[in-house]
Order: sequence, then C-alpha cells, then structure tokens
Amino acid sequence: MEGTALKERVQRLALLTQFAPFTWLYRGLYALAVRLCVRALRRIPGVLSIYLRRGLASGRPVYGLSDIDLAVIVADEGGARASSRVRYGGEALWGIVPMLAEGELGVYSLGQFRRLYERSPFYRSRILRGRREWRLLHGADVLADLPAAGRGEEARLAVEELRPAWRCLSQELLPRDGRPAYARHYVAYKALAEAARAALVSDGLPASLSRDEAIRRAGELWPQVAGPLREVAACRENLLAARPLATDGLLASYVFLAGTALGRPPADSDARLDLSILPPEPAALQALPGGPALRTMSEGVEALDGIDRAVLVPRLRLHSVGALGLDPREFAGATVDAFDLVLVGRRLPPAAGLRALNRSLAPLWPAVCPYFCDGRVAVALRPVQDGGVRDPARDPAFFACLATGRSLEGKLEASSRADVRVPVDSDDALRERALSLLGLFAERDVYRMSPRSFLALFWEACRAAWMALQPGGGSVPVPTSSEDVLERVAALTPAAAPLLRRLRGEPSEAARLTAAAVEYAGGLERLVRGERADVPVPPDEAGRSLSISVVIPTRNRARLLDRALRSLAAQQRLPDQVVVVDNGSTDDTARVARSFDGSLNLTLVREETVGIPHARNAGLRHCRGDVVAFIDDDCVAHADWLLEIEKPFLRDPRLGAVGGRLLPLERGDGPVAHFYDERMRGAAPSVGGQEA
Amino acid sequence: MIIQVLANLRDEGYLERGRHPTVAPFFAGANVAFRREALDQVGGFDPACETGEDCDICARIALADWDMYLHPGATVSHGNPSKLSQLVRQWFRYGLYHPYVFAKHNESALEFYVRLGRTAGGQRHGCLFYRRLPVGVVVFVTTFLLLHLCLLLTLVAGVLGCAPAAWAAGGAAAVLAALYAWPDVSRHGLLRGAAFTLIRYAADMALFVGALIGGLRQRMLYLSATID
Repeated sequence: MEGTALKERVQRLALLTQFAPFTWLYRGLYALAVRLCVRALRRIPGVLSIYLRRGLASGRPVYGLSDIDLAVIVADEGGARASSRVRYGGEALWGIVPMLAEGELGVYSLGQFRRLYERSPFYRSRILRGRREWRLLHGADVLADLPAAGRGEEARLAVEELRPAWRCLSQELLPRDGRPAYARHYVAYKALAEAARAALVSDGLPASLSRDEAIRRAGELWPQVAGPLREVAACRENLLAARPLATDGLLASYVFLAGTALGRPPADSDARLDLSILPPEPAALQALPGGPALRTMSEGVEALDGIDRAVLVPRLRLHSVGALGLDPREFAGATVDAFDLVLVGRRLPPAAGLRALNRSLAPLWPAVCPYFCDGRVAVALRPVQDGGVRDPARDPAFFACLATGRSLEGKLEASSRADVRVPVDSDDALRERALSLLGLFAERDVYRMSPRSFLALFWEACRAAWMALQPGGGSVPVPTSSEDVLERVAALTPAAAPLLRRLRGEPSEAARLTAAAVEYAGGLERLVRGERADVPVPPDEAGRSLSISVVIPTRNRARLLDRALRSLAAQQRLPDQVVVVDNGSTDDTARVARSFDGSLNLTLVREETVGIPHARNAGLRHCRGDVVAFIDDDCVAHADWLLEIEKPFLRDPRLGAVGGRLLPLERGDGPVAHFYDERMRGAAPSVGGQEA
Repeated sequence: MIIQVLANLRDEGYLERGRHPTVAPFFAGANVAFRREALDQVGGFDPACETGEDCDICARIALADWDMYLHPGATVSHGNPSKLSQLVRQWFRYGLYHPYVFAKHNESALEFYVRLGRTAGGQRHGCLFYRRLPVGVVVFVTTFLLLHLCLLLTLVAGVLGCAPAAWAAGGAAAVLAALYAWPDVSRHGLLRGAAFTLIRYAADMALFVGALIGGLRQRMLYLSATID
C-alpha cells in the first residue's frame, strides 16, 4: 500500500509539471528507461524484434501516467523457452523501471503474431495501426513482412477499439473504484475519444484521425454528445482539476457513439452458420452459485429505473474463445453454464443504480455477467476480458436469444430456443474452432490453469468438438449447460462416460483427473480430424493415483525419529513406503524404526558413509514409489501432508518437484529459539493463494 | 544467500526460473517431494554437497526442464536449534558449501549483487555487474559487508594517524550498524531487538566466514549474502 501512495504522489507531481523544461527531463528519463529495457531484452537468445507501442510511440504521452508498453517478437524455434526468458527478464526489469507496468510486456512468437494478424480482427486492427505508429527499437521489422491489408479494411476495423475503450470506461460501474481521480479522467478521455473515432471512421472519415480531432468533429456532428466530449477534452488538458466528471453523461455518450459506429456487418466472408441455441435448463439456473440466484437478480433489476425486461441469455462466444490462444483469464468466466443477464431498456439507468446492481450480483460473478441493451448495442455493466460490446451484426446469436423469452420471476426472463444464422470466417469455422480449442490441451500451460478455468476450457472444447461433428445441412444445436454437453459427448464416446461424469462431479475430485481429461481431449481432437473413428478411453483413474515413498535420513536421533515416524503413521493418506536411512548411527535407531514395521510399509537402509546427500541417495535406491517425498528426522508432518503433496503431482505430469511450508515445531526457551521461531514464521509461505 | 530465498516462497504456484539457478528460489530438503523419474533423470543428489544439496537438485531439475510447484498446504513442522553454538555451527556449514553450489552452476565471473527493493521473479538479489573472468569473484553488497568495510577503514586510518578519515569511516560504520539493527529493533523493541540482532550477527558472521573459506576451496572469492 505504501508503494501505491508513493506512486500516486510522484504521478501527481509529474502531472503538475507537464511543461518545459520538465517535459524534457521526463522525456529523457523515459528514453533512458526504454533503452535499459531494450538492452536487457535484446541479449536474450531468440528475440527477433522489440517494438514500442501505444502512448509513447505515438500521440501525446502523459509523463508519469503513460506506461512503457513493449511488444517483443521471438523466433518460433524454441519460442516457449525464449518467451519465458523474456517474461522473466521483464519481471526483473519491473523491479527497477517504475514506468514498465506489470503485465504490459507483450511477448509473441512470430507464428503466433502472424496468426493473430490473420485471425483476430482486434489484433489485426491494432497491428495495422501499429504499422503507422509503433516504433522499432531492435531487430528486424516484422510488421513490414505481414501481408497488406485490403482496401478500406482499416476503416472497417476501427470499431474494434470500441471494446478496450468500454473495458476501461466500465470500471466506473465497479462498486469500489480505487483509482485516483486523474487516472479516471485520463481513461475517460481515451475511451470517449476512441468511441468518437470509431463512429467517425465508420461514417467515412480517414482512419488516421487523431484523438483530439475526433473529439472535436464528433461534438460538431452529434450535438447530443457534445457536452460530455467537451468535458473530457477539458479534463485531458488539466488532469488534476478537482471537478468530478459526470459519469452518467460519459456512459450514455459512449453507448450512443458505439451504437452509431456499429451495426454494419463485417465484410470478411459470406459464410453463414445455422445455429439453434437451446434454452437454459431450470436445473442449470438453480445450480448458479451464491444462494437464491433468481431472487437476487430479480430484486436487483426491480430496483433500477427504465428497464423494461431482463433476459438471461446463455453465454456463447463463437469468435473470441479459442482464437487467441491459451489465456486463463478468458476461461475463468466459463461460457458453458454461464449467462449474460441482459437488461433491456431505452436509456442506460443511472450509474449509482448500476453500481448497486453490480454489488448485489457479485456472488454470482463470473457465472452471471450483467449487460445493458438499448436495441442497437449491448454493453457489459462490469469490465470483462473481451470488452463486452455486442451488436446485432456481429453477434446475431446474442440478439436472437434476447428476442425470445419465458418469464421466470418479476421482469426476469430466460431465453427460449433461438434459431439464428451467424456470420463466420469460413465454412469450416466450427471444425477450426474445435481444433484450436482441443489443440490447447497439447500445450504445457494447460496444467498451469486453475482447476476452475481448466474445467471451463474442457467443457467448452467438448461442446465445440460435438458441434463440429454434427452432420452438415441442417442447423446445429448448441447445448448450453455442461450437463447437456456431457450427455451428448458421452453418447458419442460411450466408453468415456464414467470419466466425463466424474469430471462434472465434485470439483476437488475433478481436479485429480486433469491428466485423464487432457488425454481424452487429445482423443477427441483425432476424432474431429477424422483420423480415428473412436476415442481411446484413458485407463481407469484408480490406476492413475500415484504411489509415494517417504525417505527419512537419520543419524543418532532415535527419540526424534520416533516422533517423525509417528506423524507418518498418522497421515490421512498413508505413504506407500517409508525408507529410513540409518546414516551410521550408534544408538538404537534401527530398533525404533523396526517398531513401526506393522503400521508402515517400512524399509530400513544402512548407509555407512556419513553425509546427507549419501543418505538421501541410499534411500532413493530403495524407493519404489512414483513420487519420493523427503522429510528430516527432526520434523513432524501434519496429518494432511502427503494428501496435499500428491495433489499438484496428479494435476501436472510435467511437475518435477513440489515444496511445502515449514513451520517451527514448538516454542522453545531462550532467545535463540525465539529468534528462530520468528524467522520461520516470517518466512513461511501463506496458505491459500492464487486462483485465476 | 541459499537459505534466505525461502523467504521469497510466499504464495502457492509455479517457481520462476532465473538466469542464475542458485539465486532462484528452491525447496528446503526438510519438506520436498520429487517425481522419481525426474530424480533418476538428473542422477540423484550430488554427494559433494554436504549442505545445499537441496538447492543443487532443484537447480538441476529445473535445468532438465521440469516444473516446480510451491504448495503451502503441505506443511511440516521443524525442530529448531536452541543453543547459539548449534546455530553458529549450522550456518557455518551452510556457508561452507554455498560457493561449491554456486560455482557448479555458474561460470567464473566477476559478479556483484544487491538486494532488490522488491522481489522480482521470485528473486531477492539483482545482478549489478557481471563480467566473465578466469577467476570467480562473487560479492553480495550487504549492510553487513559495508559495515565491516567501514570498520576496516577506520582501523587503517587510525593506524596511519589520519584522524578525519577515521572519524568519517567510523561515523559511516555507526550509521550502517544502526541500519543493520533496525529491522529487529523496529519489530521487537529495543531489548529483544538488540538480542535478536546479536544472534543474527553471529549467524551472519558464521555464514560469511564459512562462505569465505568454502570460496577459497573453490579458488574463488565469495563474499556471501546475509542470512535473511
């Protein structure tokens, strides 16, 4: 927290002094920082080129607020290793260079970069703009080698910037917005300027329009948004002005500009796909987390002004999910079993009301995401990863589900079956999407996802595979709950049904089956490719549990050894083998060890060469387990020690070592014992930890 | 430098892999589990490491492209030394084998490390200077080291009869001594903090001397980091 306060103070000081000669000083400091980053990163083998992106490369940076945003392109060969080294280097730099924001280092392999350019409209628009704006800092200019854009394509892609703009702007609707006022002002300026630009460019103006110019022109053209646009322009000139921005006006202006910019279908391809989206099952609605979900939603909607109806729409991201590679954040809000709660009305309700709605819906997040729709465009009321802006031309499925509904409670409705034609990139879109999702299971990073994200990805991939395997001609049904998906995929691969059922059951049980799920996904991939007619069933999960050998080296500490062995005999998950290595003891160590023969599967090894590594190696030679756990003779294992040790190994087959937490055993007497206790408590890792 | 990296292992998750495996985090041998396949692949523990074998094996497993995961849920309680002599002996032994593990995983070079303001990539020390040399010189610039440098300067200046220099160096030593004691005193009060500082000093000294001797055995100059 102290760091944040200091950072805020420094930023304020920098904002107060945005004039010459200070700006020269700041420019010099930023240039120095950029040089430092480039010097550190270019030495890493495999780095092809480094670009400077966004604010600093183009336009007017705000010194103090603008981050150094780098894109690093690495070679395809050994790309994973190179990118992990670049990321590691970035993190080390982050400790030194304050302007290098966390997570701002974009690392792409050359192939990935090309794929993004070809497949993702968002990246295509950014990279096309990058041709004009990014600055090459090191290496070869890979942007120049990319195939040229079609005529007028950049103008058509201008609407892509609407999504990041809304992601920034919608932070205003978070119940607690911890950003300082100047940061909010700056973000509001950027977001509205981009929305104005998108609206103007789709109206026929050139794509190279600057932000300030866009704000001026849009104000002239559309008087209803002129006020808020003038306001953000004034804020940009003086970010430290105390005057609060009127949030309602900002958001309403954005919705108007987005509605104006969108609505024209992307002209990439004429391929269409007939989908028939199944209605959410009552059971899936009942299974939502956070208690009586329907009541919570209904009451939240009731409290808002100007909302005609609210529809629960099954979440379906045909385009975004899977196209961009493995981003755990993308899957944290699962799409199978997840809903968008769409409030339909003419005007956006006041921001205060929307904040209250977000607060009351927080327990349901991310299974339920609220949207507002005025008929032209729908915007997510809470920042979401893909930006959360939908329009009928690009997301006809979303709007088709909105059109139909059956009443649930109050104004709340659930969508019923919706038949719709959606534009897709190619006739092969379903197959390609299934293969790209299933292909993710071959990547090592899949094991690094949180169990929740992993399962979300798994069901999404199963759904995609099932849809891809439907015979062509008619419309493809889209199952919306994992139960639906399970039934259909199980019918396709009956032998794997027990595995699938266990994956859908108890989450902690499902987490143990990661490796089996990965194998099954590999089988599905071959099925979709048409290489095989069936999916080989992964061996019974009972055969997948690991056996654990515990090694205890000891020397002349019979009493302590007794205590350590007793803690092993009391384990919830008993060790499959305990190897006691008697490292040249002269006391009754052997007798103590043998007394545990009945309660533990004990192997006693005698090693005459004194020394810990000798003892450990001697123990290792007698181990039969898949996993070898080491504990010292002066330690006591907690009752769940082996149970916990086993979990990560079961989840990730590429895991070589798992370490745990060490705590002081008893509070000894005297200053030395106290000193040690304090040190260990301070150093011990906290329990709990990361969830994507 | 070796044991103190445990202090970085705070949150559940995968360990980062650094440029210098020996400055990267690792798991202590008292509570760690390996996949047997990984241990077999790297050929077990190095018999030459009487201490630090846990650091060495983690570095080799990471080099063999295995991942490592910290799982604080797996807890073991550890008995601690309660006598100063035990503590000093333990740290001396730790120090003795640091340079061996370091030299084993790094090419000989002139290297300076400083303590980072915040840990980056799970590592506490940043490399300030690195140049390949036929002789290894590894210096961790710590308060402990600077304090003793200043004391040495004071002594030399006193012997040479240069009073202003002696005063300046002595003053700097006093400031550094205060800085050295500050973390304990601010957390535990004057009396307890002073006692803890003395214990820490004894352990630091044991580690430093151990590492110096261990370094000379490896034909390198190794001025070690402190215990925390």
